[in-house]
Amino acid sequence: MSNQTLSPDTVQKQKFSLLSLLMRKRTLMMLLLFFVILVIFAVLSEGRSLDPRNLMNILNMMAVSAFLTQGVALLMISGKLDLSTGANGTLCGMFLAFVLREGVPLFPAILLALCVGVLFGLVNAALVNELNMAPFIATLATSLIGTGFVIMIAQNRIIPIRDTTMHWFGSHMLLGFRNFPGVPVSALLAFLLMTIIGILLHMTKFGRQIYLVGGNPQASMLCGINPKKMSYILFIICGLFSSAAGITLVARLQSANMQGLVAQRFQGITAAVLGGIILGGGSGGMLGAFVGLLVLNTFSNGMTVMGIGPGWHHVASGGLLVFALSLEFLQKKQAEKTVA
Amino acid sequence: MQQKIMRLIRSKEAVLLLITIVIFVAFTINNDNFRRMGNLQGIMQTMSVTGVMTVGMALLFIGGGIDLSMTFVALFSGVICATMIAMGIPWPLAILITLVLGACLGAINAFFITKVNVMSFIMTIALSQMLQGVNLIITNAQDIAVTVEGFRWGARMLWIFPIPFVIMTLLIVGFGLILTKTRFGRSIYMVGGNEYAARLAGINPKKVRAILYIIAGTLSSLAGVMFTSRMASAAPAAAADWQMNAVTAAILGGVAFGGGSGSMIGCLIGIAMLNIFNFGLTSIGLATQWITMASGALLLIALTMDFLNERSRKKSLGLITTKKKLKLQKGV
Repeated sequence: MSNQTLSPDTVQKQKFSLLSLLMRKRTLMMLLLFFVILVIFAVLSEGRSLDPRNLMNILNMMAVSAFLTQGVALLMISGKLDLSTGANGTLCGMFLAFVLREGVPLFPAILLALCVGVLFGLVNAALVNELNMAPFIATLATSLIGTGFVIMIAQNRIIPIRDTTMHWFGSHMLLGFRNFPGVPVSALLAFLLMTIIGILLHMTKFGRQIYLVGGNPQASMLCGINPKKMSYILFIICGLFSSAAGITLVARLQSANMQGLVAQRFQGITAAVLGGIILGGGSGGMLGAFVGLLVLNTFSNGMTVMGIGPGWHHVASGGLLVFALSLEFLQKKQAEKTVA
Repeated sequence: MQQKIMRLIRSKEAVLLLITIVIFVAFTINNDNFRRMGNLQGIMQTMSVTGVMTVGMALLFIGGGIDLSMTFVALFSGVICATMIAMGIPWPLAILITLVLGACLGAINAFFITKVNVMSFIMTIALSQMLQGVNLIITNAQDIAVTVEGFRWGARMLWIFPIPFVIMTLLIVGFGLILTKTRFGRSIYMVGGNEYAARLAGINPKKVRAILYIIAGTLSSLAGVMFTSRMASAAPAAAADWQMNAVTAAILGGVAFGGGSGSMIGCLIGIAMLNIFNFGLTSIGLATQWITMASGALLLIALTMDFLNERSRKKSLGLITTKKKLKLQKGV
């Protein structure tokens, strides 16, 4: 984060205050915000939001957005962006439901759905790298095409899924104790993957190269990294994770509908930006993204518990995104002030 | 004189116009539905809503920005306008207030993009998300009907031209003149082409961009009012993705996505091309999924054309000479 660019002396000289600490440590700030939101909604709903079953609900909702966030967070660290994650996930979930209905066994069906996600990512990567398109506009265009495919497969109908394994993946609870029902399998898998990726991001050469490509592409090239290859790999990973999100969604709903992930299409980006991953690339990490995810989901869940309508949900999620983006600016200003 | 004509024929706009005419003729020959006069007026009416947005989008592109909140600014404006008229406010006043609101929304975009340094596309997406919510809150997800007869100018004709089409044409001519004849217009090109040089020349790039966002907000608002006036009702959600159509039309019309070049005439041709294409596909009886996919594919084609254009421009300027150098540039 920004404090890494300062020399130790300036950090020591800086007047210690809670605000400046929070400004520098985005993850800490978000964690604090998470607790504040939790407490506020607990008070407002008279404890209903802290009910174990509701906490589980939050985790359940987080499974899908955690998958969405990981892929897009990796891409954002490398300085690229994918706005087609929602369309991609919807398409993959729909495709899975479709091939299952046609009688394909579960394992190959899931593999096929993941392949669709990979293909989607590959197309995005090719457009961005070979034709020099700006990532956001290229992925917006491909998401239009993906939505077209979704309508084509669905034919305005909901496709049900009757597979028991899918049902298990979507809604079976593990690790339950006393009156806490446990964590859904899909959420466990999502968090496990997030942890692994977070560790790999810091421990492996490839992980650190992602930061370098995002922070300074020219320098990364001089270091012998191929930014194009990197971008291909990351777009494909992002496609894979979007596909996983779509599969998780249809597993939980036990059916695939045309709305799919459309409402959640910017959740990944919002969570990542809240967690301190800058849009330009080169900073942030999975822990931050996870905390951003927590903030986002407790907030929207709190609103649901309070019985606030879907209109306000949209307003709040847009507002949170603007808030997160403004934080980035304030953080940069703070960093400039401490240097000067 | 001969030279001038030759240059006109060789220009980008002439090629685009030729393609548009070819598409038009192809549809006219192959399809009876397409040939009727009413259909032509239908195309004009449909294109004027996205057309007005395209003007704003093209101005932003030339100045190096983008606005992805246009669809929801338009829908929001329609909803607000219809609500005010339902409350008994006279319709000209309601339209005026709506346009001012649209300008305010543009100003919000402008503030966050130029002062808080938020990337333009993500800021405008966030705003559109919020407006989507506001629309649902105001309307309860229901259409609002407008019963005042005077407000229905959007469905009327001026001679054989629909009134919205006339408004769009006037806007294109007006902004075309501003772009080419005024100092402000030329400064837009400079800001989009080379921001650093613009600053050295004494232009404030942030101010120019802020004005462009406000113009874009007002124009989207106008598009929304025009749509409401034609339909005699305002809907909280759109059936079509207007802003993506505006992006596609602007880039098809030769406005550079990266900023710095483009013209209003090209923009008009882009709008016509896109709408004739879409209308043609509908008149053949193609289902929605194919049209959604076709518009996505068309956007990709337009972007590819933009890329090739940019590369040939760079080549002619000697910025790219060898394949090796090209690779180096791409990598960066």
